[in-house]
Amino acid sequence: MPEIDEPARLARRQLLVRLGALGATAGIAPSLLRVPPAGGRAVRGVSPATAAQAAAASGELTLDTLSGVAAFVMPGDDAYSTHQGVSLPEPGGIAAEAPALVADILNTYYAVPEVAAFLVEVLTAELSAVPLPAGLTGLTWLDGLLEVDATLPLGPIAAAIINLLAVQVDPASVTGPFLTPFPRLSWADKAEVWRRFEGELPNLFTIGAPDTRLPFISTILDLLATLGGLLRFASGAILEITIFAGYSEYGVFDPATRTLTGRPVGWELAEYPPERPVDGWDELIGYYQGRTTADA
Amino acid sequence: MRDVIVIGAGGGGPVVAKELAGRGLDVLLLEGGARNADPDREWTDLENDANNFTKGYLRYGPSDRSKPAWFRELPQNSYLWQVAGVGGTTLHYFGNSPRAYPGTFSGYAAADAAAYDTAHRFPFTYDELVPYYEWVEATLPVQTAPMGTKEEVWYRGWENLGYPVQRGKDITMDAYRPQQNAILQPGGTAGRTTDSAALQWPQATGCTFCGYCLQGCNNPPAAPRNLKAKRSTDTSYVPMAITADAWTPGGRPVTLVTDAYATRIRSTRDLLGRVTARGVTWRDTRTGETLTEEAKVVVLSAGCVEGPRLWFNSGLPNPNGWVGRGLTDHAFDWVVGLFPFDTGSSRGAQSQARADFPGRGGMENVGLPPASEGISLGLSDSGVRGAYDNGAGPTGPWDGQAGRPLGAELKEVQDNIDRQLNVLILTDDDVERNNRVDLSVLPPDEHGRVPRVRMAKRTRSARTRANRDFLAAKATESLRAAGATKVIRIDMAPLMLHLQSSLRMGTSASDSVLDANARARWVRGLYVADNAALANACGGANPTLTTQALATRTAEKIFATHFGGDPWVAVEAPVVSTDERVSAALMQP
Repeated sequence: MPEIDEPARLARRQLLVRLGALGATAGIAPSLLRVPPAGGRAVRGVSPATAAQAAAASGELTLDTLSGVAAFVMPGDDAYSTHQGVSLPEPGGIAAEAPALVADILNTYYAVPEVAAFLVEVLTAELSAVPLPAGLTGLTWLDGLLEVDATLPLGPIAAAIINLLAVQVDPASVTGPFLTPFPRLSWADKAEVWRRFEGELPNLFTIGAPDTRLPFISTILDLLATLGGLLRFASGAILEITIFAGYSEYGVFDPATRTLTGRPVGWELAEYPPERPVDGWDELIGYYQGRTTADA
Repeated sequence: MRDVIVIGAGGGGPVVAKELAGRGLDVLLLEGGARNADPDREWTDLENDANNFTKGYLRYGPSDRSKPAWFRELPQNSYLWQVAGVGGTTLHYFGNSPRAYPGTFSGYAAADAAAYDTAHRFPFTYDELVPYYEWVEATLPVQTAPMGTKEEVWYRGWENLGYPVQRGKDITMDAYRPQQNAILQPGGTAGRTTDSAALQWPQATGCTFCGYCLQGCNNPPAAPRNLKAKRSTDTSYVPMAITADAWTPGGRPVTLVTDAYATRIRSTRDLLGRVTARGVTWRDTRTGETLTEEAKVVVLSAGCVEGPRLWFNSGLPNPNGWVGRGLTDHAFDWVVGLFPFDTGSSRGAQSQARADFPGRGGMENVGLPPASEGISLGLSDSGVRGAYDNGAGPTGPWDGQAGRPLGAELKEVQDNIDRQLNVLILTDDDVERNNRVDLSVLPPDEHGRVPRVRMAKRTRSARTRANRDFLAAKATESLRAAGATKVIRIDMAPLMLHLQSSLRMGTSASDSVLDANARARWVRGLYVADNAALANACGGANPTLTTQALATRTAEKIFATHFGGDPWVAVEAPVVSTDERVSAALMQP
């Protein structure tokens, strides 16, 4: 008896072709979406110097934006919290080193260059409107990273999108303290960024049924839905993992010994009782109504 | 050729493996993740080290933590919280082991029969499953949870509201009660001291109230693996499976292979078009090597997401389109009360009390460490409280609109972890065709096309949404009755932690994948034995016990159908997993 054939798989090359096919089906995208050219990503000719600059600055830019997020989520007595107009006389997410952990989680979560490139294509104009230090923009930052090693982790993508929305919410955020626009916003404007990130941005990728019978359209629509879905996921996940990071042991964890070097900021804030992991608590009161077993 | 290959050493697979090993069959148990052989060295009880979903030791990824986690597409704001490795998601579960609500089974004819997901009942009666519940409850074992401060607070609320106590294991009425937990009751010094030296086994036995269920239970210190407090399958069924010759005459130890990621269920199609499972191909995640073994029977226990993925990637038939469909998740919600006194939220097993509302669902008290609490507070579908509601933000007896507290309010809520008490809402949610696992259009990984998990929270059935709102309101009442001065409803985005029914068994061949024996309708020799096999959401009861009871029943069906054996549950007494013969066999070099 013959074995059942292995089903076809969608290889990266095929994905690129299908992305390019979107360009060939003019009319299926709403005006909000720019159509990437056939064959995949446009080559914009980012210079090697720009690419190197983008790569060199990337970590710092990402951390700066995520510091703005950490202050928004978990304000404290740091400069980012003070600037947003909501601060507290105690440590916050930045003191807990939440931005570094969030960046690490995002950067190791998922990276598919073709999909990232498609996203950059879709948001080209908006990313161009995000000025960054050293002559970079949101667009040249991400394009430069793609140029360097053709991978684009989620950290810079997320940061670029957050900044893109920041500039839209408050155009004055293109200049000011800090490296990137988002940390320059007030707490209320940061909330407005997130309202758009959760509610409006992903909807740009939801388009109606196309007036065409061309093949693989459903796959393309599926891909657009996937990109919108990934944005929806990211909009929630960034907030959740920022809280997780801020209240975790990350900032005082020694990976070499896998022990704590001090008391975590988040534990102190939450008055979480242990100084370090315990083997147990003297917490046994007894059994409710003396019930040590359920009735038969 | 093996007698049986079981794919997945999570909550269900090891049950089938242990039971069939006890009958003397040659069983191969494959696990894609880590062996978790030495928790003393590998686990730290620290939240980021354990639960970071990209690098934690309880992540869904390979055992080599320097390698990336396994990607699954989530096209919505949501959190999919599964664990790879021996023990699977029971590694971080709370051990809560209620039986399913009787109204979710065929033949149920009580006055409230119409209150459940009547279109998707189990294809047999509740009474038929009870002996299997009893068998699993004795094997793990499941015991009545003790009481700490957070339970005292919980009970006070329900007492003040005038609800009765559910005294038996069968859920028969709106009531509260201690959890029936797969956690050994505290003995000796356990629960009575914080002194580590005094908490060493055997001075301490059972639950030491450490408060780290979510980070993997490794207490009491120095206890043999099968005497650790929480009865995740790495401490219960797997130890029994790999020592089967030690505790039962004629038993044959299971061959356990970890770092073995199943990539294909091999099958043949005969001239009549009938498909038969023949074996399994897997990839060694450490070496990249691909291996294949044949078997008379294949048992799929890879979880509600990976199971459908493997089905699709193996090219197995799906004539009614229900593979991956009908996914349920209890439509979790989170209600947190703030109290002006100690609630003991950080101490003790993470949920030791519950309340049930048949036809609506259940709820349980939960205490978490601060970072995990943060995930629960942040995972909202209703925006940021006081800023925007994301088009939702329901109001009710809770304070203000539902949503996530951020900024200054987050700091207020997290100001003292031991002045919080959380309620986890476990909705009796409907099986719905469009909530599903299928394959992503994104590029494949080294194990084939990756799964996509879709859960449309806002368009759940009217019954599901009404049940969830009812339970959130009831939880709020109970917290206020217990003394809470502020209550916040999060309106959670899907927290996919209790996943059920994505390869469901059912009464109708038109909307189910498995028959009443958990056998694949269209693939001979293939069974499913994990939460995916469940017909529905069990009425809102935590699913693991029901999955394990069902897996025990499935093991009997396999033994009778394919190996000519007789059922044993009705005529034998189970061996408890804490049996000293298991301990002795585990300690042999």
